[in-house]
Amino acid sequence: MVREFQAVLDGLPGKSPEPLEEYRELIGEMRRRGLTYREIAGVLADRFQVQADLGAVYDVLRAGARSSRPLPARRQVKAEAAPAPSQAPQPPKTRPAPQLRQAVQLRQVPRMREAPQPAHQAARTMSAALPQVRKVVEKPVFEYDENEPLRLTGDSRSIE
Amino acid sequence: MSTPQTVGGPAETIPATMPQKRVILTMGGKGGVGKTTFMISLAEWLGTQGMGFQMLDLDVENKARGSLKNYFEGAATKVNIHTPAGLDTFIDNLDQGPKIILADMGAGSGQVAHEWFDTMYEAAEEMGIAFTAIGVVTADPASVESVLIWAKALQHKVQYVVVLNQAVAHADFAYWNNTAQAEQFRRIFQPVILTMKYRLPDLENPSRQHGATLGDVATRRANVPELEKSSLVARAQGYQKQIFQELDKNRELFVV
Repeated sequence: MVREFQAVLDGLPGKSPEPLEEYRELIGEMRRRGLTYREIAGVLADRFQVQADLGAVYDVLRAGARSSRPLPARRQVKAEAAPAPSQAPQPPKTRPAPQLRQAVQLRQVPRMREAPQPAHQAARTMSAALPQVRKVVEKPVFEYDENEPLRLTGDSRSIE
Repeated sequence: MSTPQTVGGPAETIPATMPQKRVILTMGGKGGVGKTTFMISLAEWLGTQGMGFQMLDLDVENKARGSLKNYFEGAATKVNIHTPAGLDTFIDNLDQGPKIILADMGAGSGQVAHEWFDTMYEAAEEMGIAFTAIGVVTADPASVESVLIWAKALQHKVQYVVVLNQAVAHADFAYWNNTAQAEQFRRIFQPVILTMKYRLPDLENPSRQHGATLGDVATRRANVPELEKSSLVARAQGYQKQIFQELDKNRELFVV
């Protein structure tokens, strides 16, 4: 794209492409394995030098859940190395209350010594390792179909 | 602030955070079931516990007689939750003020509240904020449906209290007691069940009209002639004692 056009687009308000999009599959898998948003953000920081707050992690999952289409093809990784910090995806700009933002902001973490992997490789690599991170006690999910009327069962007369 | 965990490291458990602050909110939905009536009693009970709390009136559609602000002029803050920041007011108020918030959500607040919990709950939990959700049920099945809709959205993010409001003399809670959906809710969440006894219209109507709480009437502070009858004062004392006893028994859900 012509540089001037890109500059104009960059200056427009509105939603930029999801910076964590390429990590969506990995994030989804980590959630399924019971990691909290904070822990996921920690993994992203440790392994990919991606600084993301809890809301950004949540947003990428929600965007994935909303879409009934198959996951879009991941972006081509141009180099084997992960992006430099200056190129690393940034969290979305629309964050809530400043107090909270401060509270949930992740600390800067040191780089790992090993060479960072592309997200899709890392997803596979981490698959075996994740169960060691945390054991989750599954709580039963409450399901309710609001289109289904309440139907009385058994003895419908009852006095509290 | 906790340190991010690294994958493949030794198994670690994140210490459970003890609630340091609490938001007590009504589950909106069905209007006119007695949410504000219960919150008024809860506010008066908290007042007897020597614990600071703040009241937020988030019931934007209940502008006049029935709103929390009508009863606690100057003490209850009216908040419009239909803004981009929505319910961040919970966090901001807890950040700066008392450790307990009473939030009267009002009808029509479901969508906003559910989206807020989806986005912000985890962070709020990590800040030590616990949530108690109050559902008020009457004989009307719509009141039960409201609680179930909220529970479907909030799941285990809150502790549930269900108030059976005997809004009429012989209230029948069949839709609460005898439907598979409500039974599933009780089994999964094991809510605390409280009962709000039937209150005479002779007391209830003028109290609402003049913004007088049970405590005002019970202590003859209402300054309303029709509420100074000894029989009504005695009834107000009885109603208040009953609800206070129920709250005493479940104190841990309302304090920090």
